[in-house]
Amino acid sequence: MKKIIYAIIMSLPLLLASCNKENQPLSTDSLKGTWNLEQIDGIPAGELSVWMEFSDKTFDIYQRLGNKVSYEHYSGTWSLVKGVLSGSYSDGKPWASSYNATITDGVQLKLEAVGNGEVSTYRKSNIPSEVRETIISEK
Amino acid sequence: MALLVLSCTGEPFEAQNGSAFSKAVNSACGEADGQMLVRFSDPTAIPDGIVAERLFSSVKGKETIEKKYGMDQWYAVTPPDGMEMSELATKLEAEPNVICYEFPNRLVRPFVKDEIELHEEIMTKAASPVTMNDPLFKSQWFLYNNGDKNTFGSTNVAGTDVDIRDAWRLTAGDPSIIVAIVDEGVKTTHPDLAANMWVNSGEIPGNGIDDDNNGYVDDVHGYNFAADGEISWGLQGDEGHGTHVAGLVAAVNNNGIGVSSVAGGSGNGDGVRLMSCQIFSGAARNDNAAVARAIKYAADNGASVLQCSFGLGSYYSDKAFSESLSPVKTAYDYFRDPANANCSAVDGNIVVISAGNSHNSRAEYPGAYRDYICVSAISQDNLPAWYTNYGDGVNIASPGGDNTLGLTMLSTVVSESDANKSDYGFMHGTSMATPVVSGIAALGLSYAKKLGRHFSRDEFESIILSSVNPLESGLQGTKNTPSGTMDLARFKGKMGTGVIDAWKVLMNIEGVPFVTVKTGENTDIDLCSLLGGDAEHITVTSVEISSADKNAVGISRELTVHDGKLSVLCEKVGCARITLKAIAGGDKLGTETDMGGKEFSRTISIVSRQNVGQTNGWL
Repeated sequence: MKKIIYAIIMSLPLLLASCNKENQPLSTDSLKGTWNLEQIDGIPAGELSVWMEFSDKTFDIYQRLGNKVSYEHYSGTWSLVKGVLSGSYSDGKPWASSYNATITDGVQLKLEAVGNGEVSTYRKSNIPSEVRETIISEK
Repeated sequence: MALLVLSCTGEPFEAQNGSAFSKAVNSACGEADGQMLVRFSDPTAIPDGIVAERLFSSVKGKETIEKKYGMDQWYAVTPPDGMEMSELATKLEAEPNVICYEFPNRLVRPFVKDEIELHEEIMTKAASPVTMNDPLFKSQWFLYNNGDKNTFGSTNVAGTDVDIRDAWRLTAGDPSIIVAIVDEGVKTTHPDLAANMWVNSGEIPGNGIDDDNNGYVDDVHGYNFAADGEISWGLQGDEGHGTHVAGLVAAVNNNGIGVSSVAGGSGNGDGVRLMSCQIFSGAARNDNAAVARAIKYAADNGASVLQCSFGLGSYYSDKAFSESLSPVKTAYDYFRDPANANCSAVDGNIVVISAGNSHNSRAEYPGAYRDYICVSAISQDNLPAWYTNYGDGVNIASPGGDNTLGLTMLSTVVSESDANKSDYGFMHGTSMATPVVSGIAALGLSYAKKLGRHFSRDEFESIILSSVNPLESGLQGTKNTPSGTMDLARFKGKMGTGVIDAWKVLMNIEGVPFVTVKTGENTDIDLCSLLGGDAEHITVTSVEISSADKNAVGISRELTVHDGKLSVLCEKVGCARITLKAIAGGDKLGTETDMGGKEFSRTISIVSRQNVGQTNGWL
């Protein structure tokens, strides 16, 4: 019994700490805004420069993969149902998967792909002007 | 195509007494006049009685690299009055200070020109939209081909062009990029060229003084190496070939007159610049000395691209060419050397040369030499032109036109020598296909500079060679030509990597192609984005990946290429780069003794992730 009480006491700081970082209930409003890819499956994004902007029912993705200078622009529509984010591109093709989405502290977005479990994290951040200025293809 | 045709070979010259002139690098060709090109081991100790002038002008600050190529050792020797060349050769043989010598060669230039008058009807029929406001753009199918069979012939195929309108969205040129037109003199006063002529700011026109002390008097837009003087274009014997070639590279765009060009700018003074390095001049003697001097001049005065639509005769190996035309080869090496790079975007300069119009199954030299980009020609039916050389030595194809099918290549000409007294006219040949590639190379340099990109010379050449549209699928059946029926299967794998595409060049300059693969699953990556549209017909010689990159994405299996696809299995999430080496032109690399293709290499980035969809979009 003493061991159980001791374990509870020792874990309190951890529980309190995790409570400080609020996992907010995901709403469409909290998702709106601009996000920058930070990690994919725990690996830093590095040369994968991905920016996403969620607006009312529509999204824009600006991505530059590798050492290219310019960005590709994708757009389409999205929806959020019971915390599951899904969408399709403007050509009608669906996203690679839908995602269980959570937001931490209002600034960190975690998308866990349904089906394959890929986890990518994004930070809320303004899109630099040079991103929109160097778009080379619209899709 | 203008040809400098040499009947000489690399065989040692036989004197009348049967003894070989062992120091001669070529045969005498029966020449009675001209200068012998002589290489001395010690140029400070040229024997008395030999009248010699330095072949290559020395440039202050470049003495080291000139010595690296032995340029300080080459002299042009004029025989004294009354002395036969063979007598001079005998004298040179006896001189221990003479390493080797080259007999002068009389050069001729067979020519292909279409005497077609520019009717107004031609200009109004075409249905293609005009990006630039040059009224004749709509007749330039090689820039934009909408498939109009009325104007361009019944076999015209839509899309048989170099995709220039898309490329112009990103750049139409850069005035700091200079293309040297090694050819007849360019008409520097042509209304559609004058604004894009390179100007030597250190030279005062027409004062008879070498103001900038570069060894050449009044070289304002270049120099006439054939006649040792100012550039000319309207003499008897001139055909306007250089002016036509120059117009394909950089006639002024969007100026409301005449034609458009590949890299002629957007009408705001931003076209690449044209330097006239004249090696033909009316009836004046044309020889290898002029060619060698012209190439060095181009390197020393800022040219980044050397445009060469001429041939130097029938050689059958790189070795024979190098040994027989040593000063010319030396000049090409000097031009390409990274130490002479004239554009900040690339370490070294780019040489583009025509394959020849003899319908031979190998390219002519110097184009065939494995270091240079050698261009074959297609016509508006997206098939090999009836005249083009193909096979060994050819690296890439480009539109060159075919007068038996319809309109050929429309560009600037010299009105003084044009049958219709027009400033514009049609020509066809690999001579015309080549400046299209040169212009695209200049456009690529312009874009690389704009982006702040930097490449090695080999990397940049590899981009040019791999930025192509497919040609191979059409090489079946037959095609009717003026000389009979052409079996298209003969051209399979022999026209180079494919047909040059300006947009693809710029896209590849943007950065390394990127492909997403699914972690844990074998993926066959289509290499068309990397090696060009005919990737399945390109011979890949090696596939390389670093150990670190292998570990990063968990590749344990050997990487293989089959049917234009790279087979990859990544076990881990991550990014890696893979480099492929391949052959541009044929299935064997050129060597000293065997003609063949040019090696090029391209790198592809892959990202291995679990979440891969139907598009390349991130989500």
